[in-house]
Amino acid sequence: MSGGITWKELKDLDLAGIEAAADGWRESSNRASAARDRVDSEMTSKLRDTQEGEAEKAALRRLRRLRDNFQYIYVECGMVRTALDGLAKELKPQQKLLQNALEEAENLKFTVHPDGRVSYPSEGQEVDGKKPAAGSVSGASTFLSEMESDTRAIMDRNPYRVLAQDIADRIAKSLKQAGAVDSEYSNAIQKLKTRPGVDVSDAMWMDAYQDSTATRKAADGYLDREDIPRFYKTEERKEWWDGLSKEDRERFLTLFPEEIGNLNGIPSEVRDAANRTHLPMLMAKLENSDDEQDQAKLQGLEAIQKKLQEGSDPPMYLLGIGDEGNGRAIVSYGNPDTAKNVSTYVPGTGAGLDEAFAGSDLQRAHDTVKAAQKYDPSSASIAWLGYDAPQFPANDFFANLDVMRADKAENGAGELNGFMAGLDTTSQRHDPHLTAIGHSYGSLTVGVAGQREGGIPGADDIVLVGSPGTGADNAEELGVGREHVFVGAAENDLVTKLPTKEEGVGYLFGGFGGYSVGDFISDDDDTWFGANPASEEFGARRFKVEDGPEPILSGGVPAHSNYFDPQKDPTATANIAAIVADRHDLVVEDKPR
Amino acid sequence: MPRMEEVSEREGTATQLAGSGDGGGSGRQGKLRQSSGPWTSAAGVAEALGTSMKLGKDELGTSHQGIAQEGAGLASITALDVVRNSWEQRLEDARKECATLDGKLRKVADAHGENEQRTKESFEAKDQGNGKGRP
Repeated sequence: MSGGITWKELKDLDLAGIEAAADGWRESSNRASAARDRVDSEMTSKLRDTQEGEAEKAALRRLRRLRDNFQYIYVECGMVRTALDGLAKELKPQQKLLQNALEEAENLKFTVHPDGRVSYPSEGQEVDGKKPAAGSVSGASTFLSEMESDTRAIMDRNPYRVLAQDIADRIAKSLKQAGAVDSEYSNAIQKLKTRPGVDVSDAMWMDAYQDSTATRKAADGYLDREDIPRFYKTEERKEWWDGLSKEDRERFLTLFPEEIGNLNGIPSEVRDAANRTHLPMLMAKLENSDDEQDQAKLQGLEAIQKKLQEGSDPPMYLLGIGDEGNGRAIVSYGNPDTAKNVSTYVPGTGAGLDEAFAGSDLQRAHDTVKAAQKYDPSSASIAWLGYDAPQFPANDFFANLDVMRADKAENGAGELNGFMAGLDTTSQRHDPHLTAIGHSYGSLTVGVAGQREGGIPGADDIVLVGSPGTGADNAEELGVGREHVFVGAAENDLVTKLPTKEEGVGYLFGGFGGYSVGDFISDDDDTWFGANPASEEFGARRFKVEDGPEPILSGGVPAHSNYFDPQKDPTATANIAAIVADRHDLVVEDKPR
Repeated sequence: MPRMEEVSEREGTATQLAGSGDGGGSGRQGKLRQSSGPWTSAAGVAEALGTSMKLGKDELGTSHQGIAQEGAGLASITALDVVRNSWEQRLEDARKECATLDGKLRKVADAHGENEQRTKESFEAKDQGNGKGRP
């Protein structure tokens, strides 16, 4: 018992009343969520273009604070709601256990005392004209004491003693378990206290992050991470989500935004909402780290958050964020579930969650969708940082050739295929047109993904730009048919002209070279990553791109980075857009090398 | 929500009045023609959100009536009390912020000339020319 809840209290608990209280929190949470959306769509987005004077700017700053506060209220009140819900649900079986024991006691005319002792009357065979004496027993609190008291009860000639002991044990057990539930939840609930005011500081998001950890821990017996079908096929995950009640969806979004936000097969709008919930908490977590890479990730997330706040055309969908490895971020311009054409751009060497990704890689996806929409307005484009790319600047491609292996592409391929399967599942189109675009090392990732059994799920076309190779010797191996593999290789992009191993990289740079040659993906042929995708033997469709600037002797290859830039390489951009928009007839082809 | 309709209807009336040519025309005809500019409409949303926060706070109170009794014996319910008080305060602060923003946004709207009708109408309201059919 130890000062916890008494059996009278447990018996009298009005769990429906606690559930009603949970509904009050749910109401506040939902109100705040709706309020946040209205600030975004009916206030900020309409006033964004009118930032002329100081008064306007100040008003917009206030609106940002307002929406952050609503977001915070939504998250935290949602957690209180989930905690109360969980408390009621987890106490229910304990209350039931107690009720059954009490009923049994009553039927047997036993008395249950306030301290949980159970008294039983005199009963059994008379000895010397006397029935075995009445008595009372206490519930056992440990396994050992239960063994002991059971043994004594069995030896007693009064048959009631065994029954009374069993009842007392069940009462004690229900109280013990109810007490444990209560103590976990009270620990979580007291953390959910907030501060007055309307500001939401980093520290408060950090608290929210820790609150969610505590609430998850408490709710473990009620809403469990394992309830999320993470190890199933994307179709089954979608079925799971579609089959959940509105309330259950809210619960999962409140407690597991990180998991739901990154789960392939969950509708994009839901992932977006979950990741936007998770974003400030993840940022707060990184804020507290001194690690240099964490700071870079934080800057990347800050830049992404800024873009989300500013809004875009087409609108952004945050389909994934995470701090594992070099960081994760998946951003779509346009809703990939409703667009007919969806492209997924896989960046290469040097890509990680940082300001550069939030800047130039997102820009590439945005440029792609803007260009594709000229051919077909129903297009969405994704920048996909769902894997750890090799970490060195793309410009230093050659200096690092000997340390570059296919392992990261191998890992990335599985992730990419999972993501693409999700897109294919959540698309509301009968037959969406999906394109996987790999740049630089990312084209190796795409290539490896294509060579997996079944190819890249749902992919109709593959675009390889600035590709050092795909690991395949023939385009046919990439799983979409040779005619659907498109290659952009600028004359001055040396990455697309990788020599054979025998020639060595020094061949390219003449006297500048002299890089050592390491071992690579396949040692049984003489190329780095399979046949050169721009070559005739590879058999893909090479499309026209600008030659680009000549390589810089000190080590830069600017022509490697222009394929998505409508200013620097309008030819490549237009061709990529035509492929993405499923207008192959508009692609201007080039002869293979 | 009804408040918002009310606002736009009032403005609609004001626009008609302005359009009927009793003064105030000057060089702002273009802006006068719009019955509700973005700042005015943002102010209306702020007002509605303030109402929503107030309702949320009220519901929080209502939904916890009798909770001490219903959950007697639970440390969780004891802890909840402090938590709820802190959130009622925060919801109240959010409501106040909405009210402040409502006012500020209307000021910006005025500066943009969005609300000339409104200003004008507030004067004209004295001779009871408005309020047609509104409860």
